[in-house]
Amino acid sequence: MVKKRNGAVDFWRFVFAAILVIFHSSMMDIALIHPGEDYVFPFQLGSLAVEFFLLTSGFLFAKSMNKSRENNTLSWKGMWTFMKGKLMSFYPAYLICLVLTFIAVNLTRYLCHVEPYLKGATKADDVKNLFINFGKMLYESTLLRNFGLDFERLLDQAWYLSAMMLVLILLYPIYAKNKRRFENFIAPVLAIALLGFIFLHSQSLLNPSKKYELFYKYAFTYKGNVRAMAEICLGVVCWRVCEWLKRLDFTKIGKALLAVIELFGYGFAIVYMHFLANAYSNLFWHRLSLKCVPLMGEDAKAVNLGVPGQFNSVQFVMLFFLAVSVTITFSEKSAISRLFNHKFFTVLGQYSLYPYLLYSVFSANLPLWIQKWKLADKLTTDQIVLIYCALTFVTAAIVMAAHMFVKKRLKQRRERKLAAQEG
Amino acid sequence: MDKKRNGALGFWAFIFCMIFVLHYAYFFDPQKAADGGFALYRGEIAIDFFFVLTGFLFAKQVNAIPDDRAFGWREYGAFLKGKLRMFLPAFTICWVVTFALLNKAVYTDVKTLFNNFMTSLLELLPFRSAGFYAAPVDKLTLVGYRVMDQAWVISACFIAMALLYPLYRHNRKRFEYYIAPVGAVLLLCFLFFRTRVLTGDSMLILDAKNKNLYFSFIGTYKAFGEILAGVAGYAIVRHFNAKKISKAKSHLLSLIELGSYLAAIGYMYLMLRLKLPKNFDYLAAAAIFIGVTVSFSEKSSISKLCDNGVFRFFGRFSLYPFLTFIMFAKTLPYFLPDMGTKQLTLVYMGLTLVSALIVMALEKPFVKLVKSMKKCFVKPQSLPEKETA
Repeated sequence: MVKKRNGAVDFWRFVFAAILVIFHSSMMDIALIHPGEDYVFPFQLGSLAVEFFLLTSGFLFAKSMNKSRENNTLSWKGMWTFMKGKLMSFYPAYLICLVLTFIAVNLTRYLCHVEPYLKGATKADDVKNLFINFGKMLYESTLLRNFGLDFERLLDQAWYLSAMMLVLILLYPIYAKNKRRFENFIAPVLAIALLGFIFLHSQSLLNPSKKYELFYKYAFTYKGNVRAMAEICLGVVCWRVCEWLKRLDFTKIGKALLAVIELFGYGFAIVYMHFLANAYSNLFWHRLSLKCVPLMGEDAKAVNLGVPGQFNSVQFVMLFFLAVSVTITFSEKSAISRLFNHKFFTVLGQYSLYPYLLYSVFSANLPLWIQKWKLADKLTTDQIVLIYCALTFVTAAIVMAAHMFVKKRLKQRRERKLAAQEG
Repeated sequence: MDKKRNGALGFWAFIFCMIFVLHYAYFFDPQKAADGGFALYRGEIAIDFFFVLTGFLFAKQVNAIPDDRAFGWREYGAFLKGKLRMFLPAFTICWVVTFALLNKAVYTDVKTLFNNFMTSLLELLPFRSAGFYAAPVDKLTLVGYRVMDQAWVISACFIAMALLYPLYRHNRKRFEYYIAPVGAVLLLCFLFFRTRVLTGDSMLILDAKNKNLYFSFIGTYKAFGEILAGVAGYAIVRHFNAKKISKAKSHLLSLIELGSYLAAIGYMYLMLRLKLPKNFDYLAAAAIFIGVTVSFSEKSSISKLCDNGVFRFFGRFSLYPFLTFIMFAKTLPYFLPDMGTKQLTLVYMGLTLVSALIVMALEKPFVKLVKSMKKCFVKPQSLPEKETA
């Protein structure tokens, strides 16, 4: 049976992966090329694009669980089959990108004489460093970072994949044991309680590597894990709502309204990540306190100080908008959903994984290359960001093509082998 | 299920609602309130009446379900929907009006308006008390942005009931005789142990000192504790109702009922004047609990006096001033800058009551409008049977 993919979801997957790539241009050490430049990178809150992927993961998890229930494959064995399927959907690409990043980072550092390959180091030192870095890569290849096995990082973005696997392993047995209780009670309660917990502690979804502490500095987990758990559960709630939406027959106006809501949710998220991140400043608090002067006297002026990050709460509003949009997109009930029913979007969706996994190659090394080839004076920071994006997307396309080619050949080989055995 | 309202409780609901509303007149003179020269310094304890009452009504609703009917998730969904329908239409109307008035009074430019709208949108969620709350710096000032300060009460009640319902339905007796009383005592004692004061800013996190072990707001713990107390109280009332009570006892109950309520109200008024310790809050809450228990039993002699349409209307009406008062408490000093505190308070009370009547009248047409709009977007034949009917 051919798997039918949702073209609209694939399209948005690509859009949010692209935002993540662009956002990580800020990881480039621009000070190395243009010291003292106060450059504002695009999509300053672009890391929030991960919320889309967590929501879709939760949605697809619920979908898969319901399919397994229909097929009577919910069991411990079924769980490992599910986890294997999930892992295989991204692990080969992850491994390729990890190795490529490892090679690029070490080669660049060696050629540019950056730590640990400093100028004057002996060959024995270089070999030793290479082994050490190889060991680090092995740690990272286990994908157990968010389980606690967090060492030095090559692929910063891998936290999402690791957290997702951890959450799915934890949730699968609970979901499988009592589907209805999980969908109607546990998932919404967990989503709300955990998001409320994050809001209460930091009023922000950012910083997934922060450790949550209990009982005086006994860290118990990463914020990223709590965030992933909450949003995957929210994705399950989205699935439940989507099933209800699918049962309804919308009028033309209804479909148009759904399209408007869907686009508004995505549009707001994108605009927020790029434009509004800086708009929420303490300026608002200053104005408010001035208005309060007639009421409170000069004390009001003093009170307004020290309200950092108050408007990060909009991140949560954005997340709820995004959840609504994801639900509508998956329901395929909006007026624009048919526009995306094209193979092109399916390929785009599959492609989105590669730039997401590959950007570290360029964000870590591009400034060093520019410095080595003495291009710093010829390029503005805008151009460097553009080059970084172009290199990431082109390399991702090449890696994907190569990966697909090898995959196809391996499949053909396996089929031939099977045919020979049957023959 | 007996849908008849309890007149006595309706009357007291109105009284406590008015006390709560009057308490918020401290916005007109925050300095005086801070110094203790304010009429109802501990007026916020009035909210405990509603938490306890919610517990009683929650228990009554669950007990109205036949014993042999097994718990189902559809039933749970209907329960939550019913709770949302009770307040969401009026709440939405009040939120929009309050937002508009507040922004008209305090803020002027479009950018700030947009900022405020986005940051306060989370208030519309019924699970705001789970943690989604950008707390202000100083509760005596308007510094800090929130549209409806009182929304936490509704949210905390909703969260508590949403979490407790499956547990309650799973084993009614165990819940009423063990989980509710033990849970109520443990939670309220824990609050006393940590805070000493029952109220204060209910949206403060429980343990702000070490920031290590806090999961929710004081108000949410309080809502859980007092709703559980209400459920336990319901079991006591059932025990009461099984017995016949003589006239003398009925008069005695009336005295206890009146005495409890008046003691609580007296404490709210006299707390600062007599320099009573703040941890007497718990005694006031206990007095309210006793009062509600007696009123709910309808065994006292005055309960018969209150059993009429006017008091029942008061009970139904009390939700609305609770929702509307904040739109005037926050904005009147801006609209009427030259008016004295006493005059402002009078105008505020009058406007609150009038606007409450208007919102009450608007609620049904608003719901009808929303329902009719639904037909424009969804074909009626695809709607679930109940809704089509």
